[in-house]
Amino acid sequence: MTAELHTLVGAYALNALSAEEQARFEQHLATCAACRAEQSELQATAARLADANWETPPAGIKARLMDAVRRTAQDRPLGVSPTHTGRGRWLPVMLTAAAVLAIVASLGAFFVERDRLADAQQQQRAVAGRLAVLERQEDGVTAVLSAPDVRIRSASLDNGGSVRVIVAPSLNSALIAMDNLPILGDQYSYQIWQVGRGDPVSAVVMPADAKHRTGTQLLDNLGKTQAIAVTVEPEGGSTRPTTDPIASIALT
Amino acid sequence: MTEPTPLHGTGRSSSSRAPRARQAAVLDDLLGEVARGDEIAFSALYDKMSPAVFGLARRVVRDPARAEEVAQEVFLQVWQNATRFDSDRGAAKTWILTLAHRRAVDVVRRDQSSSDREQRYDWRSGPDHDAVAEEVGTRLEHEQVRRCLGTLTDLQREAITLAYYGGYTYMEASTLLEANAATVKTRMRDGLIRLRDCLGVTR
Repeated sequence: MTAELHTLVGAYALNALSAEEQARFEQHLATCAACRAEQSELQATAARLADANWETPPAGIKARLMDAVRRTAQDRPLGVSPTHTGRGRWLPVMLTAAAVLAIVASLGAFFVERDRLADAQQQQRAVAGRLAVLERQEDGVTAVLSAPDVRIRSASLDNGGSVRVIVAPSLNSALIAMDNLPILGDQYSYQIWQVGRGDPVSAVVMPADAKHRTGTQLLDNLGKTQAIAVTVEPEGGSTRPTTDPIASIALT
Repeated sequence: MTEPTPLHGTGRSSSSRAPRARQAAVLDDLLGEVARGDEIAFSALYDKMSPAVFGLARRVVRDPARAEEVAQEVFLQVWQNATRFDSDRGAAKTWILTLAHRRAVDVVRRDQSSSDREQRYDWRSGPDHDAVAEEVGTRLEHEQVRRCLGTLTDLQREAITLAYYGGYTYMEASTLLEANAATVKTRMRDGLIRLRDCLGVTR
């Protein structure tokens, strides 16, 4: 082992390396059993530092989590390979987990709407078109979440609500997950804008219904969109934004 | 905070290690059941680990709402990836807290410019003690961690706490400490080694 790399083991255990150094050190770990032994002990030592900071989380977290768990498949086990590094195996796709969680809450409303429309379809042919759109969206949602380059950006609102954007550049697509937006009067709607070099382009006008303060929207034509903005507009939406955004989220 | 007398290595007494070993085995078993899809085991694992995970997230990201997000994401990740946990490589508790620390640090590094973080970092040295739900056993663990941090040199302790609780890279920590980066990197390692010996950590 090179001495210079090996001294990084402490900083590595504390997660205090730059991304480049971390990658280099992990390559080194893969080939150095003595380093893995030291890393494993120092990692356990670092984890003990968390023992000094216990704090009981708010009760609501557990209910949301158990709900998410019921909706979330587990990863398949990896084959055992003697050259596999411990840390490599310990480094799952965090972003994917984050993205799944981010939309789980709002996706509930989406599936509820889909189911409701499925029932209505028997009586009302006009609904069929909307249902097909939602089903295509469902495929799109799955595709975005499983894209290799998925990343998540978010903005918190003053009222405690949030807007999250889950971007999959390789699919030219993004999911907008709105959670607990402020309640609007009947005469207003939320409108989502794609912001690029020119004027913002309307992506979608959310229904004015107060129930749609929480929802998920798939955008499948990002193009040169650099940011997603959400504004409050008169019911039915506007051709260009007429108010300052309540959230503006850069995609990069 | 009173400065404990350095008592190198007293953390290795078997009386303090045995309950922790039992607790660690319980967590390892629970994670094994979670890997087989057992939601009840997941619920029990959450009950045992969530104060440590949430407390760590709070300490690192500060903002309670963001800390909640981190805790949820970490536990959902534990659910998804439990199938890939290998107990030969370390304890379940270490695995979960490593995920939690990484996630919290990712959030803080993404959210804040370093100048913001300097203001947000809690400069009290050593771990927090307030707003903590403690059982007798965990209180002993807290005290042991505090005592062992007290056995480090100032630079070792500051380098480690800036990295672990503040989410700083060793380069950032060296700037804050006005110390040479290579020295800070080395102090992180030898400080952790001293902590390991004081706490009696075996893996």
